Amino acid sequence: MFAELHALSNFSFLRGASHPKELVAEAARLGYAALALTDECSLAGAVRAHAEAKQLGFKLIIGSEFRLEGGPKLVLLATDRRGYGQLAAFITLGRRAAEKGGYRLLRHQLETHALDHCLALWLPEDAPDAETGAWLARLFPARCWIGAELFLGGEDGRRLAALQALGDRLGLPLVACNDVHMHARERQPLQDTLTAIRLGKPLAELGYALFPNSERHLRPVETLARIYPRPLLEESLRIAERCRFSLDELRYEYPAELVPDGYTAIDWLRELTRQGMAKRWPEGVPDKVRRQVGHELELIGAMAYEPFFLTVHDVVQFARSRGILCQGRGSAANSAVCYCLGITEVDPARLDLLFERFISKERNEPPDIDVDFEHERREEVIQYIYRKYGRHRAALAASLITYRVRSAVRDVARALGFSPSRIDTLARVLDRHGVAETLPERLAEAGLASENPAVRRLLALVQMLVGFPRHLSQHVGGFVIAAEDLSHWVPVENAAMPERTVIQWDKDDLESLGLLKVDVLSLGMLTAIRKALAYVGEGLGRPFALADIPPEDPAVYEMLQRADSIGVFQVESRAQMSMLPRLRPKNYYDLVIQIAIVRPGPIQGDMVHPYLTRRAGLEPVSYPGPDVEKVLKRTLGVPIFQEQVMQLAMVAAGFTPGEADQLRRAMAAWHRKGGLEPFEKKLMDGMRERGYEERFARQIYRQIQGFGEYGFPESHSASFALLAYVSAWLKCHHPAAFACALLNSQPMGFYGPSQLIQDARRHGVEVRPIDVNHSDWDCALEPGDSPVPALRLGLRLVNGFSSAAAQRLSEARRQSLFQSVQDLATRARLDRRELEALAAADALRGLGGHRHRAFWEAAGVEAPTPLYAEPQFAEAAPLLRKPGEAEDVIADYAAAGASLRRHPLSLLRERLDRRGFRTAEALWQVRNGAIARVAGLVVCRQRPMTANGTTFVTIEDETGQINLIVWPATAQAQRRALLYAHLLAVSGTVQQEEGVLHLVAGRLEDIGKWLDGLVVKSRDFQ
Amino acid sequence: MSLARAYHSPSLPAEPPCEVPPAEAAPLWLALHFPALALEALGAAASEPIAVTEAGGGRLLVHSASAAAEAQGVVPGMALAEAQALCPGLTAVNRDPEAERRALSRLAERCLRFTPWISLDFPATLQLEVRGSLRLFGGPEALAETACRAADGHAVQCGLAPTPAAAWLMAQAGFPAPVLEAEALRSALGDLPVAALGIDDKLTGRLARAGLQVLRDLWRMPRDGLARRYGRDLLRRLDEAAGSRPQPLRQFHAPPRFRAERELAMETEDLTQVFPLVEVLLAEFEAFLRSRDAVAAELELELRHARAAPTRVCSRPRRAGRQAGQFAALLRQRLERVALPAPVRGLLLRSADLQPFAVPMADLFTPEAASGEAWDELLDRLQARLGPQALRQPVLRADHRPERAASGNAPRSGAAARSPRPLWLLPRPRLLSKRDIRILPECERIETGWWDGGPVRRDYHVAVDGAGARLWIYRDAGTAGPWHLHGLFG
Repeated sequence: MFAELHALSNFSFLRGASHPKELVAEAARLGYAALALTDECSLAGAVRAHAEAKQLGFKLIIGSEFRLEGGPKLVLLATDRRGYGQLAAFITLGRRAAEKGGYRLLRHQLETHALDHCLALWLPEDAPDAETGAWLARLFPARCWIGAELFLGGEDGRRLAALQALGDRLGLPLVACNDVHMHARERQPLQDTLTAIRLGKPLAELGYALFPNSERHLRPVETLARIYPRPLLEESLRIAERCRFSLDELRYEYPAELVPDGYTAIDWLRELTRQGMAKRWPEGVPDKVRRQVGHELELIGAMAYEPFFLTVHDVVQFARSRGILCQGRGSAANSAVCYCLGITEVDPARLDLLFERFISKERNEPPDIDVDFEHERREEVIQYIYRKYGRHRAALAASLITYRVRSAVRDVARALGFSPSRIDTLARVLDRHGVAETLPERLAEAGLASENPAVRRLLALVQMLVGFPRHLSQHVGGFVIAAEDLSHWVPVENAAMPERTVIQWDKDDLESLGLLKVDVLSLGMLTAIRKALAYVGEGLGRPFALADIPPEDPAVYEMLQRADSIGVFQVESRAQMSMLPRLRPKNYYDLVIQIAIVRPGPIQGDMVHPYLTRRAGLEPVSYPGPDVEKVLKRTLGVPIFQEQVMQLAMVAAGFTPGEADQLRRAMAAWHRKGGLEPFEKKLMDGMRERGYEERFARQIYRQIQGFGEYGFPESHSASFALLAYVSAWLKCHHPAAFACALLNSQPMGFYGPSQLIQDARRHGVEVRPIDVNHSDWDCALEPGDSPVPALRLGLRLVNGFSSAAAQRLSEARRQSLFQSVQDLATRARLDRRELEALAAADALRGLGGHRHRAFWEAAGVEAPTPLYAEPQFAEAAPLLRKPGEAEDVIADYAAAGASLRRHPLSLLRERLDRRGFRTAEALWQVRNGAIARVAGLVVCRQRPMTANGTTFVTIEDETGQINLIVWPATAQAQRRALLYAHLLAVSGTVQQEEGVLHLVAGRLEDIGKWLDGLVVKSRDFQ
Repeated sequence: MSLARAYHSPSLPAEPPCEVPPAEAAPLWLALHFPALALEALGAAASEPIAVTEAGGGRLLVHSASAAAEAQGVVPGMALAEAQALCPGLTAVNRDPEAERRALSRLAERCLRFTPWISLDFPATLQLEVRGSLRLFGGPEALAETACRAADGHAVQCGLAPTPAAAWLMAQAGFPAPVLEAEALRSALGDLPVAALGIDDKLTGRLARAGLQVLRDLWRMPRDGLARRYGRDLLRRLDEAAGSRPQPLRQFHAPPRFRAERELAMETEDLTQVFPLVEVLLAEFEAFLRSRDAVAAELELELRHARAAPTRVCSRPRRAGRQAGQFAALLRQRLERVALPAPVRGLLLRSADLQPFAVPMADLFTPEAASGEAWDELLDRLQARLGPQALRQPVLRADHRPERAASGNAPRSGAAARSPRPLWLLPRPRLLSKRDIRILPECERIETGWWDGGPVRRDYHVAVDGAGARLWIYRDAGTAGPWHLHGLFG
């Protein structure tokens, strides 16, 4: 029997060639007594190994390998919880002292850092230094061993004898260990490749940097018995015996300071909930809610989750106090307590909640509360957390960056010595098509023979490498907050961002240990809503808040039913737009459905069509039984939400809530990993037992499959629908304020400034151009000719102009308006590049005349000299041609992506008319199935993965947008026009149905040249 | 610094730049521009989709594309990745400036019959001063046509104008009508886009944004204003095109070649009689080289026979040189190994590969600077005596595979130095036939080399045979297969 005490997984990045899980499974299969996972200065893989070991009932030891600066190399193993804390803190010490990804530990730190609950294995180099050994023996009395590692190196006997002599001299026992880098011999090519990637050299140049053979794998015990003397193997068992720590012992202790004196945590939470309840329902709490709150509090208390709720409540309170909009989403919206605490906004009385999705006793998994904050102000919230708890107690969860096909191909191909242009080709081909069956043809197309041995080696290695961890990055906003020092609990390291630290575990790790994190996320729409509310308030002359927006305004729904939704949260995408006139949302709950139904899940599960026909009354709504009716009534018998699938499994197939949740997890993962099969049988059997038809059962199962990872929970959709309604209300009643807020919150959402501006103009908003004598950095509302304010575009829309320059400009203008380009340059301290950016955006029109002239002036501006504040030049007057309208329009698009002049298409309209092209507006008069020709600027191209290679293109002319459908064959044949044209002429078949219009493209033509032709050589000087 | 020596960067010995060609009348320039030179220099076929690439901004960009590639939308300046997306079968080749230079100078040699005064100073272009040749070749159009025909096998565009810059502009733009008088230049060139001046894209863009798109627009602007905004260089280019400013060009000369022959007074098979004559020719050769400050990298001696194909002996010294003695010694050693098919009756000595002489920059503090040359001389002599293939230098490579690490008789570095290696490695391992050997238990396993088609998976042992010799043997790793002998310990 043997226990391996020195094994590296692929979390020793670019060294280990096996996943932690593979190491554990292989060690268990070989009958090892235990395995120590000892990644280099890291515990990042420990949780994964632990999960596998737990499942197999195998003993895992937690340790880590270190190379101290100036030597030696050693392994430290944790004996108990205390030793584990010491080890984690020691890793933190090394990691925090180095840049992201590295570590730095000095010899004396081993002396000063408390490690008295750890065991040490010294791994001497070729010529062992006895003094180092003596030093370690002193530091770790009776806890230090010499690790003997033999790999059929040709002189193993001499090496062993030397170590034995050394051990005798120092009184240190020897133990056999194997510097394991892979679970099986077959990984040697991958290990060599990782070495090449790590050293940044092709394999052929690595020479002795590679291991000479593949002996650093988990070798069978019989093999080891031939290599090592028996006592050395037995010693490993004695060491393993002393290491009794398991990650299961980790208990998360939440910060205690959130509970005032005299209260217990649960009492305080109860009190806060009671206060919130009174605020939410001043007229009295509905019974249903009161019961729900009671049930939830009971569960929260039983699971000891109170501090978690209190923490989130505290963060949300802080944001509110600073006027930062925030809203919880996700499964937390299923919790009435969260609603009472103000964490979420979805009234539990309005929804059929599924609290089991949020917290369940049998799962013993932490609840998940995601809170969105305004994206421009989330940093304030993060800084608050750091301030309140201190950096030693708060850190971000890690996000594990793994190899994807593209990065794997690049690195492997470089290691194998492919030329840079080959690497480009390979990465492109493989990225697009994956390592699939059609790959040989794809490679042949790119001029690479897949039977070429080099290409075959590459493919095999890439397949192994994909999914390997590459480095730790920071999670978008998942905070871990500890009662005491976090580093005794999990190692903390530096993130790439200065002043940020991350723990070595990601959210899957935290979840699998049952540990809590608080998600502080950012959402652009919240920023836009807060700004729009402020603009509306300014216009009204009084504060205007979210609560002032009236609910269920019919005008808002009428607008949405017309698919007039550019800028509206969640329902502005093209797919959503084509669904709006079909679904015709009439109330809040319809919006909840609208958001959830345009998702790959329901689309692939074939749920959209049945729902629409039932809603239109074209098909009777029926249910296979009363239990099912209860679950599916609100969606007319068609499961649309993830929760409904889980409830169906419970009522129709007899799943327990916990099982239903496992089903949800399996659904989320099956596309990647499979694993739905056990549920299939249980589901089918359960439904059959309860008397449901085979056909119905099949259909439900297929829908579950279709849902996959894309299913949308109702709780999520319910939170989003609130924001969708608010943004739609603002768009409907305050289009100028809404457009202004969206423009000032860019980048966000589905559309760029050009579309937003055009949409505002179509809604009657007067839009005024960027002008250095009127514009500030942000877009702003100005008194208009009508009671509706006008929208003045801001300098933020000028490409290549900075906010600092805009600041200087606004300050200088406060003294007096600018008189000339030179005056502007001098007083606002703008350089030539900044002036040219303004000229390009035509923002100098008020000073320099037409654009050509503005450029000439901008180019001629001189820096002020000490003697003359404003340098003067006597220069002959230039003869500059005035740009034509088309030139100006094209330049507008180039500089700001938008133009307030005529739409480029209207410049071409005469020519288009002659050739029988229709406008977007006139297309509606074409009967279904007829052929029509249109032309427009390409706004976006999409190829969603649910569409089997179909490309969706949106083009735009002066009257509106046209949606094109391009089938794969058409796309293939006319690839160039499809991929590269900015201005596209299309003839195709009109498809008009339920207020939705598509043009199925037949012929595509790039007519960009037409615009160039417009740039007439007019000889109009001024 | 122990940089042993460095050399001046080579460029053929050029005549000093000549301000203007010596022409009685005002010069007239014929510019022959070869737009596809980069492709043609690489011998690429236009019918294949090929792109010549060069690095730019950290990426590979298309420098020029074959007709087949252009038909699929590949255009110069495009990123290679994008070009490959458009044209899936595209072959990418790196640009070879040296090949382009050679191709251009071959073209120049062909054009020497139109005028002695040619310049290669413009990219992918020959500038021919042809005022004096007009009559001889039947006028400007006919001359241009004949000159284009001389560039057979190359795509060519020509321009004829009183200044080289204007001629070049016109050639670039594919301008058909020649301009003979400087006064007519401005109106002829006015509609050319400003980019034709050879300014970069950034400046072109800046000019375009002020509405300055063609040369006429520029001529209309105040000169000081233009210079202040867009730099004096723009004015210089503009003036050169208009002929209001002369442009110095360097004249092309056909690369020098040496060729000298002698008839023998009487036929002989005795080389000792031939050799004095060879030395005479070599002395001439040395004088030729010295007068041009050049060295030769190659020298060929042809022995002519009455009724047999000539015998050729070639000498390629390790280091290009010009000393008759050095060449003589090499040729003598080669000649000694030659069997003559017939008596010799004439000699021809020639050399085409001449290079500029570079003074070795000796390190002042390393007196043995010349030892490198002495070593080279020794190698030359050995190779001349034994033939070029007979000499091998062991090169040590870091590789776990013993045969790749080459000879084991030199110390190796690093971790692998621990395990024993025999002094003599067999050129190829062979099956071990001896039976009476004792195999020592210590095993060295080598498994590596999977990436280059030479994978090795072996267990090595040391064995002692009956005579006490120590052998280095192996068999396939982890098997009980047959033993192979790979080396002998000294």
